[in-house]
Amino acid sequence: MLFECKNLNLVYDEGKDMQTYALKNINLSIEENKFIGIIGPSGCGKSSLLYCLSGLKVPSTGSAYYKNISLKTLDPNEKSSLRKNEFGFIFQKHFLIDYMTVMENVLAAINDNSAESKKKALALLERLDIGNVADKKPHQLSGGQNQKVAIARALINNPKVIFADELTASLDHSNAKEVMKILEEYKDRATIIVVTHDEAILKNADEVIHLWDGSIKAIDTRGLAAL
Amino acid sequence: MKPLYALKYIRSNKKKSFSVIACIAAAVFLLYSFQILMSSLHNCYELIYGKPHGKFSAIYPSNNNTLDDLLIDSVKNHKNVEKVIPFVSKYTLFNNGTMNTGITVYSMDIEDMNYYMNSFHIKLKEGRLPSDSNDEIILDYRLANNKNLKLNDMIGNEVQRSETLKGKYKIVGITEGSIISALTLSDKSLDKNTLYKYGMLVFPKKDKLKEVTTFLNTNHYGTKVISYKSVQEEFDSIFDSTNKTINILAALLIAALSISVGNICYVHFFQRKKEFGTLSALGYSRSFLIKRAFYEIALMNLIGFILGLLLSIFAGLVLKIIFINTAGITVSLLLKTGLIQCSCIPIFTTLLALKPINFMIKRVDAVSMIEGVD
Repeated sequence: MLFECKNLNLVYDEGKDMQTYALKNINLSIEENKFIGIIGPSGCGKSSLLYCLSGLKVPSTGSAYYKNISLKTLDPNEKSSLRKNEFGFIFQKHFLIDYMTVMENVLAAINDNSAESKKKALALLERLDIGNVADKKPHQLSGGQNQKVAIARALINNPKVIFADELTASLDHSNAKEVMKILEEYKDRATIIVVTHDEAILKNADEVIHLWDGSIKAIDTRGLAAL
Repeated sequence: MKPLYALKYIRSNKKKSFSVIACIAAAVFLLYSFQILMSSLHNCYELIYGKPHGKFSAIYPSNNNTLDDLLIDSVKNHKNVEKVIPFVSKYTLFNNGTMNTGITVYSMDIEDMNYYMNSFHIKLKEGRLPSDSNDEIILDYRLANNKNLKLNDMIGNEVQRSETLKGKYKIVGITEGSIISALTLSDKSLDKNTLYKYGMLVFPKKDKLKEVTTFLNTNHYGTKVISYKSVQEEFDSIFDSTNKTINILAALLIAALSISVGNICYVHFFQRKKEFGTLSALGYSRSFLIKRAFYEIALMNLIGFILGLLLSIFAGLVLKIIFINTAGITVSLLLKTGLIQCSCIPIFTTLLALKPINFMIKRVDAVSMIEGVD
């Protein structure tokens, strides 16, 4: 298994009178090179699960495992190294660095400006149909274009896992479809974990995890289309 | 240039970086320029007092008395004394750029004048030595420049009201040597033995300066001795207080800068919290982010330091060309003490500015940033 969660709980305001369970008793397994969707209403714990799987958040109890290694046992530097070398992140907001060009923003993920990396970054931008804005700054682009830059940034390090949190939220329907099509192209070399409330973008997912109030309500292994 | 290279941020954020660079440059400029000025004054005092009295001590009668014959004999016959030159002294003024300082004009016979000149490698640049007439004078070129005088001009309070040198002298020679000097011939009507009563320049034998100074300072009632030691004590009294002032100024500057630049940097980095949070989420470790912040601040400080130093050297150069050189003051542009003192500014500022930033980066939580920052 690539990922495993065993009795994972994430509690906010631990030790205080009013504790909030973001995740409750999560048990799941994720295989390599699968397209996984995490779906549920706002505040049900989708993003929290993504952060626990990627090591950005430490579960209150239970564990998340990556390649059979508990993420809890890794020190902050090991976790950083794991995220840098094996994971790619796309957030709901693009979080591009405003003083850098599009090309530099993509290369910032690997901090490399070799000709080879530039060529690769440009190929990614062209694939996302924004090759023409490589020298522009984020403020000169539309929200959709910026999100595509963030996608290119997530893919530049050939990640083994791509974490995407509401990545189509700022895209129109056709752009969202196109972006998902590009992401799905990576399915044979990476595991794609997409958090969304838009069922439409998960139609080709291998597994869809339905969350409700911090707990797994159902795991659909056939994809939403088969529901 | 790598996207996360420190210079990249400075080049892309010139306006923001400029405030830090300008603060450091201004402080370094202020401090180093002050050091250049103080060093010039020190050089000036050294040329007028320090170097001459490094080779002789001058002994005068105090009040309006004359020197005692026994004293004259004991000095002349002292085992550690190589040469005694009798003289009569007058004085003129030298403007060191900030104030006037007195230069002793020694009147002596021609033979002693030659000895004196040889002792300080004084050579004629123009003109000749004074001849039989005692109304002729030879001046060091720096003193001549300082007074805006040239060969064959006249000097003295009889020709210039503001001049302190009594009488009227024709400049017959312009000299150069290791000290700033002014020499005239002594009055021929005074025989040499009488001349000793007015004052003596006592040249010790090699490496016997200390012994001779001690001898001259011991139990000679009614005399005034100007020795290397007394000159150094006077130097110290002048420059010690100035050096203390500079050091206090430097400490205040460093403290003020550390606080202000530290705050500017903290505000800049606080505005970039989102950037650091993103980089942290993308897998850059805290040590990498702190290192990057350090390089950025250090680079801005270094640029400010170099800029301030170049500006002050340029200002010193301009001062040297248009004023100080022509006025006869030596200007040193590369000062070890000044460099050490000024380098404290970027070092302390960088380290102190980094402290709150280090604290902030340590507290940057990628998830809170992703969830909470617009």
